[in-house]
Amino acid sequence: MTAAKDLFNQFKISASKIQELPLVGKLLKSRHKSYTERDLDGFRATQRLAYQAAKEIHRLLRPGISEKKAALMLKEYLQDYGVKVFLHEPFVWFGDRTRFDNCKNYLEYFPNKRTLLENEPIILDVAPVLDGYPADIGYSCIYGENANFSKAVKDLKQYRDWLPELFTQNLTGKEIYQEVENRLQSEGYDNIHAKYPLGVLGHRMHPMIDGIVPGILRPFSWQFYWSVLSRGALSETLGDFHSAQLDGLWALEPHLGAEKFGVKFEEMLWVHSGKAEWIVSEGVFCE
Amino acid sequence: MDYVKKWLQLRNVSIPYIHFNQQQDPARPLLVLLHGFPDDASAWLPLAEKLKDKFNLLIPYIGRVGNPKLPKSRLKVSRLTMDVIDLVNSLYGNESHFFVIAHDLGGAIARELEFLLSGRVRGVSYINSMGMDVFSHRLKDRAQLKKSYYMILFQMPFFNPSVVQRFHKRLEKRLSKFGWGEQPSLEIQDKKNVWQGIELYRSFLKELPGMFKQKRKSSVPCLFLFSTKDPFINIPPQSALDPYYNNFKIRVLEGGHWIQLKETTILANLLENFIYDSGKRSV
Repeated sequence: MTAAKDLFNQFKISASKIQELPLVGKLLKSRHKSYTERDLDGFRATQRLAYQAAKEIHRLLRPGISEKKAALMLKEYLQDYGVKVFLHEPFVWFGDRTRFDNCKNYLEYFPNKRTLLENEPIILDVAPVLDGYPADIGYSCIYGENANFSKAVKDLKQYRDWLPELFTQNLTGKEIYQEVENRLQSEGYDNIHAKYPLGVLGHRMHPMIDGIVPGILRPFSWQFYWSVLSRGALSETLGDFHSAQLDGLWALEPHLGAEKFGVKFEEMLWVHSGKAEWIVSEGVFCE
Repeated sequence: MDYVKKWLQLRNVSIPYIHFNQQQDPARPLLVLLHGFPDDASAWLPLAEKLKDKFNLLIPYIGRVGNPKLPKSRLKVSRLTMDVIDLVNSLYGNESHFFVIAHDLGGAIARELEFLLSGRVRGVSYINSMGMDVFSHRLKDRAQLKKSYYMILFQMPFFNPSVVQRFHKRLEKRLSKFGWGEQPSLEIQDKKNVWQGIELYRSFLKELPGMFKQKRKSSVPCLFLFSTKDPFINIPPQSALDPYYNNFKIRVLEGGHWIQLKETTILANLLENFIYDSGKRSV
């Protein structure tokens, strides 16, 4: 079993370097382009809309509402603003589900009939595509008060300040992942993003085909699969296997696991010519 | 009349509502009045005349009635509810408390508001109306089913707004037997355009099976006003509403489906008492 796991890890490391192969690499690299300020403005506009939706819907959440209903409200809110395609369908998690404790498979990550209780943490994760530019955001909030939650969000804010530094230190994706993992452990948090598909800390973002054909597949749209697969798949995700170059636009989503709940944020980081900066300078956190 | 039709930009579209020019006194309770079909916001004007000195009134146009540019995709109960919430939040603030008075199809939105803004909605009065989840179960009652035959009819492709608008005079004549459009003040109502609301029936009926599955009980105080000669609603017994409401009253009045047009004084008194009672209880 361990040997199979090692083999798979070895495969992931090699696959993440697919862009370094002579022919295929050239083909995949041709799908990458450097973004202009206009492109970045497109990504910014979508990210702002996504956060606006999350904040608006958070204000409407009351005990008794189900994850499914909240996710539908998020989706409809964004559709009202002209969103036709989603990178992934909105995810909403309440209480202990914010750290996926009792989820046995990915199907259980889908919003379900679980209802919100007083003083429970909430995570809203939504990824709309507007005018061909996607955003992927995560917003941790709460209905009521919880001192542990407030502390976790305070710690989460520090990760936002710290992550760009890691991208400027000439580290590989694997090393960045490890650094985050080590910090989480030293601060007493569990690494919840390890429970995501492929256990990734983030993924690259690219403009997408929008408005012609609907997303069809759930929860990730076919546009997302095409965007990732046509550029090399594993090289597009930041996991403990990533060793390719890091330039590009990344949606980073550190997910901290505290006792009985989790908190996360997700935002786009623009990495280029040795620099790394959030595309929107101010972070959005629940006050 | 001291009112004006105003527009507010919400979520990429403009939503119209009737605004009364009287001083908005924050100490007065806010009433949100939701019209049904075939009506527009002006259907509330006769009753609003009696209420405007004691309450702040917000009367939105629901759906594409009075707002033909609204995309069809917005004609879902949840989306229309969000429009009403956005309207209240924009005009009266995110923490404002209010009462809802709903007639006919407006009840579908009122019911959603009970749950989405449970802390802010102080009371709901349904006038010949009820929530979609409640109504879906009422259809198990044969007498109600018989009175709801037209809902199926409205799903027929030929029953689209343009056809209905063509025959609107005949339909009006029929409905006038049940009290529709009797008030002279309703001359301002665009009687042809209100039939656009048939789209709501078409859209809401698609959501009915989903509502049937819902088992929700609300604690918001509710006052149900039914009328004896309503051709569309069979007055439900107390036991039929028990599974959905913890705190409700039923009153039956003499009249047709549009009692809010004819019995304005009685209705205004009933609503006033209900609002002050619920206000006292919830404060």
